[in-house]
Amino acid sequence: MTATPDHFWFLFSAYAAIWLLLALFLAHLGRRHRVLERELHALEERLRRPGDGNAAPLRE
Amino acid sequence: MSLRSRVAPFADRVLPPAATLAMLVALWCVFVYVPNEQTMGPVQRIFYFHVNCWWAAYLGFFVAAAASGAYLWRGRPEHDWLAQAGVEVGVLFCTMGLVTGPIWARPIWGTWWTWDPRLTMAVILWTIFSVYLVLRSAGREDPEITRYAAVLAVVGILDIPLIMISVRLWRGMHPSVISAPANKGGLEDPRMVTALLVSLVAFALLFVWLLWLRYEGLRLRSEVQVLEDRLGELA
Repeated sequence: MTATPDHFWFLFSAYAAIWLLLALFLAHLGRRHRVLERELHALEERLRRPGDGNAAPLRE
Repeated sequence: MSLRSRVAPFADRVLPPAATLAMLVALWCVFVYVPNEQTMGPVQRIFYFHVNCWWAAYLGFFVAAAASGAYLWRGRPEHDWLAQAGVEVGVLFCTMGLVTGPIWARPIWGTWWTWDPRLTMAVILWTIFSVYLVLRSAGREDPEITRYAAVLAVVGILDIPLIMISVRLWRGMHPSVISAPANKGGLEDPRMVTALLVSLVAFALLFVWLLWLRYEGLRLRSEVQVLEDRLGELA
């Protein structure tokens, strides 16, 4: 079989699809991580509030 | 010192550069090192990543099934996190396999898709584990839904042996390159075997890294939830 420009296009498309899906998955993980970070900061803020006095018993 | 705290430094520091380096070497092997296959030409180079996408997907689903079985038996959340991480990473690689297959098939078979037994079973596998993800997404932390999903993961992997034997069992048109001899559609050059093995190492490292990232995400999510609940109780 002779290699045609079409064949290189299919080869490029397959590898591009793999990297695109991987990038989307990593972006999805990153977004979840940022949400988690925001929630942790919110928790820290609540712990720092004067008068709460509940920092110690949070972890067993 | 727990197993997790011993594994964490290795997973966080070693896995990302190791996976990246291995992937770069694999790409060099695929695009520079291996010769063109005689019948298919350059399109055959899709094979090295396509096959490894499927192996990584199978590995993800096996991890998920084993962890789901352990969860059903012991009820520990760590097993559930591992199962969910395994399915998510498995579905990612399964999707890659389902996308790259038709791209290879179009110039070789002349069609994007055919309802060949192996292809059909592969779509069924993707559907089963996508349903798992939908269940987990809809059910949140509902223990009953978690158990149903665990059963689905254990039953779901029964499709994998069927995919493996489908070509011989139902005489499908999907090639079986790995088990075939070199003169009957197998790998004709030792460099092709090397490229396949290097890609396998790269995909294994990428798989473990992604599984670890997702497992840690689910563990932290659960810890935050516990802290929020306790703060709510104290407020």
